[in-house]
Amino acid sequence: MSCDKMHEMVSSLLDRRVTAREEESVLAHLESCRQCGAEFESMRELRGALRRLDRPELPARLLEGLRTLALNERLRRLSHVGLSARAHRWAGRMQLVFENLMRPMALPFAGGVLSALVMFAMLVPSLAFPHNFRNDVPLWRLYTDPALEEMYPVDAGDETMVEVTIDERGRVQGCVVTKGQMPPEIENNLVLFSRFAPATVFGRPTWGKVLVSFRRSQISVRG
Amino acid sequence: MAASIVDLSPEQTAEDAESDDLRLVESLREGSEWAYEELLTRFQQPVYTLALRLLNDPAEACDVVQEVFLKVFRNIENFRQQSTLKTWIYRITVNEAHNARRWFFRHRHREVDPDANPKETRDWEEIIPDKSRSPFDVTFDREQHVMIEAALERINPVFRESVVLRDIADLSYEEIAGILGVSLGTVKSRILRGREALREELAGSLNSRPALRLVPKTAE
Repeated sequence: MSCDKMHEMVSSLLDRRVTAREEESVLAHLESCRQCGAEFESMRELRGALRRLDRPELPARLLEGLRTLALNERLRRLSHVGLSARAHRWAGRMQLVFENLMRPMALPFAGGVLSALVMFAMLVPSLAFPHNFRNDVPLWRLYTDPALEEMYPVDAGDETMVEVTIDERGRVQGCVVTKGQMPPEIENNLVLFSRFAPATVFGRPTWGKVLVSFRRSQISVRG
Repeated sequence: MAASIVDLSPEQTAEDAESDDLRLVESLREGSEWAYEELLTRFQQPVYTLALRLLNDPAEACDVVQEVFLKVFRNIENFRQQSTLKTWIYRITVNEAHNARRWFFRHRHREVDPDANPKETRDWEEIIPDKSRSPFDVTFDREQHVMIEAALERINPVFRESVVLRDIADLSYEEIAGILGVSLGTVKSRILRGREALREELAGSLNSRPALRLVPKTAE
């Protein structure tokens, strides 16, 4: 190891910051090189002298000042700690009161909720009511024709066609024979005793016309 | 077995010190009286010694120590245990000493400290003679210390910080690196250069004192 390198190693060796191998080679060099050995010795003495430096005595003024400082700072902290501690204690007390208030109610509350759920589940099927949608107008149908509900028995000719005008209440308001012959009394009976379902627009009953065809064998109605 | 005991004991002490620090910090935050006493008892002497060695001015050192403890008490909430309490306090001390030195150079004006001269404030312990050491030894040591203190003051403050932290405060390289906020390599280099600068400073003053072998001399 060169003397230049030793220069750096001496300080590290004093602080035990060298590896075992480096220490060995440094010590070997110190044995052989008097200049480096002397440098190491002087550095060691310097370090020893620094360590032996008197511990300076603390001035009385400083000691007193530090005591006063510590006292003031402690009081200052206590005032802060006091505020936060008081708030904390108050919050804790409120929480305790709330918990104590709620605790006796916890079991009845849980039981009540559970029993309510059970009863609701049991009652749900019986709560269902029958729906009658028969008279509902399908939404997709904007207009419905009048329909024959009840017809006075008519003994017409071979083939007779009558155009009947139905009002919004399903009553016959007019009657025009378009084909064949029909006696007036039969026409009157038809007007008086037949019942029709009125035509509807958007579900609301309105006036409409229906063509009624009579045959000997059957009666057919065409809208 | 002996080796293992030797190896384990420093670790245990480090853990103990850490838990002590933690307890002390917690108590300080709660405003416990003993914690304030304990902190002062543990750190007032080392902090003062460090400040004095860095500044070489008792009055300045006193101000720095007060400032350091004020900061410690006020900022104890911010201590996050990323370093030890000692390292944290020493870092504050070094920074405060640095600030004080800058201030001093801006305002070159020294205050007169009534406690600065120890000869005028001797107490009974100093008056009673110490029979274990001869007056020559005492005088010799005092002279040596005065010379070293003077030499310390003359070297570069950057190197002085490292040397003081290592050789007087007896901190490890890792602790010094943490305090100064530099790498281990920089710490090593500063300590080396600081010691060399110190030795060179002492060389002139010690030439006439062969009893102190602080200057390297080869055998004839």
